[in-house]
Amino acid sequence: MTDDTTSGINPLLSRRNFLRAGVLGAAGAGVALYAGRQASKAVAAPGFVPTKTDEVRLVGTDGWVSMPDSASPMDPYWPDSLAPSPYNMYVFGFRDVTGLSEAQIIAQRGLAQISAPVLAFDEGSEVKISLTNLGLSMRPDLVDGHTMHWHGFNNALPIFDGVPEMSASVPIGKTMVYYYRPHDAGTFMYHCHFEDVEHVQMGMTGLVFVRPKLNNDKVLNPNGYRYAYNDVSTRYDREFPLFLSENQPESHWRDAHIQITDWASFNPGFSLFNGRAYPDTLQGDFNPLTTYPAGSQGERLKYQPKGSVITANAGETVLLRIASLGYVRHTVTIDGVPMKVVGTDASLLKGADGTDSSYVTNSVDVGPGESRDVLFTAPAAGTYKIYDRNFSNLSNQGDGGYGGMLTELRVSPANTLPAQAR
Amino acid sequence: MNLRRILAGGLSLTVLTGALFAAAAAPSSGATATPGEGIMCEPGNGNYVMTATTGRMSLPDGNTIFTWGYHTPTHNFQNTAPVLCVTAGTPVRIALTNSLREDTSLVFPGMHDVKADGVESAPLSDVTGRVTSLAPVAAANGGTVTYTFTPDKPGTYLYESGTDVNKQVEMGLYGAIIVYPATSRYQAYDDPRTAYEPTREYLHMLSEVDPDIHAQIEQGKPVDWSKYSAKYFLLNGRSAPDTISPNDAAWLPNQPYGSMTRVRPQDPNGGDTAPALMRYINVMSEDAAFHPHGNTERVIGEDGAPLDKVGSGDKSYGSFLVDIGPNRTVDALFEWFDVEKYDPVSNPIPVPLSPFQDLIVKGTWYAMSPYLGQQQSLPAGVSQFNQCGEYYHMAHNHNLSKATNYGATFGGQMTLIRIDPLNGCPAQ
Repeated sequence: MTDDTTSGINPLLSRRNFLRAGVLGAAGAGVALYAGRQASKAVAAPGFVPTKTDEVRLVGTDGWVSMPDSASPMDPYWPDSLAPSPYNMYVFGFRDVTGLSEAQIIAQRGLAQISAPVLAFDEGSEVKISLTNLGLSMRPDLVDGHTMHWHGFNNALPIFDGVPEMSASVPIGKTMVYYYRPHDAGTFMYHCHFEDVEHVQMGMTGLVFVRPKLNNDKVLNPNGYRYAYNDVSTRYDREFPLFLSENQPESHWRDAHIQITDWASFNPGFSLFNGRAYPDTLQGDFNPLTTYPAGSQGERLKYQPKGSVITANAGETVLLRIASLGYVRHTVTIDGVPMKVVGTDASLLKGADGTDSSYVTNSVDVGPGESRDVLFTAPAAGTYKIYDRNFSNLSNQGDGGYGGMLTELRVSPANTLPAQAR
Repeated sequence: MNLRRILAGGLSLTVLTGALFAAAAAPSSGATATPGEGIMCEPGNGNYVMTATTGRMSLPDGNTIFTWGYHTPTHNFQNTAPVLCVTAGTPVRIALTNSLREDTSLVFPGMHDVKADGVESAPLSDVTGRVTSLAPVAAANGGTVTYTFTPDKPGTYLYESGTDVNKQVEMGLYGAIIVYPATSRYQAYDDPRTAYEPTREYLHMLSEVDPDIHAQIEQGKPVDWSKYSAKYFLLNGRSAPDTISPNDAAWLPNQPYGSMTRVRPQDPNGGDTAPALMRYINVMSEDAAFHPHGNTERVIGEDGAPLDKVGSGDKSYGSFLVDIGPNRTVDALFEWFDVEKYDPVSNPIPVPLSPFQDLIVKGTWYAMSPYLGQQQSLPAGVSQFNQCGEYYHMAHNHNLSKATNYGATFGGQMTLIRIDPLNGCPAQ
């Protein structure tokens, strides 16, 4: 494994072929060829620009969010009687506090967001994530730690893997720096691994994008195109996160009300895209640090800051980064739009001999902890529904109307929208 | 969690690992049996005498569950059932005696031309044509039947009851069949690219238990299957942290199979060994989403079919979440590379590391040093299970409600991946 290879860019120089050639000579020694993603040092790709250091400051704490008010009440669990208006559900979550003063950071205690901030890094960059545990404002009786588990990080060190029993976790009031050099492009996730079944269900879950070095390579990519992987078949014009999770209101209520949950029984009430249930998925992005007018959508949803409307111009290629940290399976579809799955679990669907295993489908299957990199061509201008075809996740608490995992693809005529900011 | 049990597991592990390392350090020496870790084949070489009977399994929270299983004359009772290791092209014979109070049978998904007492094994029907069993039965209270077949395709398979399957499989009537290629014992398939390290072949068989239903069946009460709600989630018949206890652990007399994976770092500059082979079987009625920490695995086959059939191209794929459908199997390769080669002197980790006073250390498997092969003192009061600075990663079902024991975290379908220093642990 190395940061200096050119996998998939040039078939003659690709990492896999390099490895294959190296091992073919040793085939008699019984060494497997399916080494896949790791290899020895190869020559640096010409023109590759070293990337910056990425420093992020996260906090872990608790807070309150808002599921759609139109859902059927589930007395006494939802709406939660302890919730301050306009919120109705207790959560744990991360916040991105990069650049804030220490005093501002401490003031974020009790103001968690779901889903967690989307993190995006370049392949080969030096990533430093400082995680501060602010404690739980509703549960001063608990002394839970928090951790950063980069889900799917290859060749991880235990100290930065975030499993409390295998290394350590961050106590209340302390900060730990996690360090990573991502060597593989793709869509990953992160979550707290402290008492995982609870902290994940409570909302400490989000996405990590690793963008391939090909995107920054001035020689191999002189036009500055964007790719999902180091492979020219994965070029896209726009990318969007679609993070899947579900919550069980009873467990959230029990945590707020100092009750014990049997975590072996899971029955989701709300199913979420980017931390929101439909129709809230159609609202725009908000900022947890902004003060919005009383009664506004911004006030209600600023701790679920990410909308999930997908926008593109007709004919553009869209990369949808789909991943799930829920506990049940989902089947994501876009009405009438074929989708090409080019990567699963942050691995390009290409075999050691170059065989293309990508596939076109109208149903992308995503299980707990899985990710999918999906390309589609934006069809004619118009609005198209994106939803989970597991229909039990298409309502809010089974209330009969549409809810849960439903959002929209809104396509504009060609050349209408400006290019997506990088 | 049962602290006493964990301590017992840890101590035994330490005792065993010294002996085990001899095998791990000399992987090219071939088929050294490893009693502590890895797949443990039932002796018999294709010819097995088994009894279906009742017994009990022990769970880490102290519960004891009435369960059913298959065993050979060498065990009184076991769950999961004996792992049958056979060779493609070589006939297999299984003589089953039924000690249960109801009929039972065996089916072998993926096998063909199976015979029961010499005639084709076909589903049985009642006079109305309604199926009563998927295979000819051994009658209740001592009946016998002998199944024979010849496997022809290498891979991972299961055998299980074909009678009242919903109940009998829930009660524990299932086991693994491993079919090795006739050409090489140390390849997953007839393809040298599926070679694996002989001492690093692992089985993860996932199943679950609803303790209320097991109790109702034990007490002869009616069962309402619509209220099915599993509370215990098993890997090779054990639930974490028992999963990391060695094979044949004395304190788990009816649950002989551990599931801890053990590798050492691959070294691209020389000394690479073949990957570990992970064989997954899911006996639950819903998908299993099994997540190995530490590194992405490469899925090379499903249901006994390689994903790189000769001439069709390599369709293997990377997966940090191995998805195994109900009653299906997946074969994957696993390895771990010491990519950054951190060293406290020559190549330190480039961020300051918190002193233990600023951390919560539950990490009894942690060496208190982030460097592979290095150890530092643990805080007072924390038991040390780490032997020589080896790394441990977790591997678990990412439907996290199944990584629990009756809802208690750090349990269920969860085990550990142990990564030894490149040169192994010094002799203890």
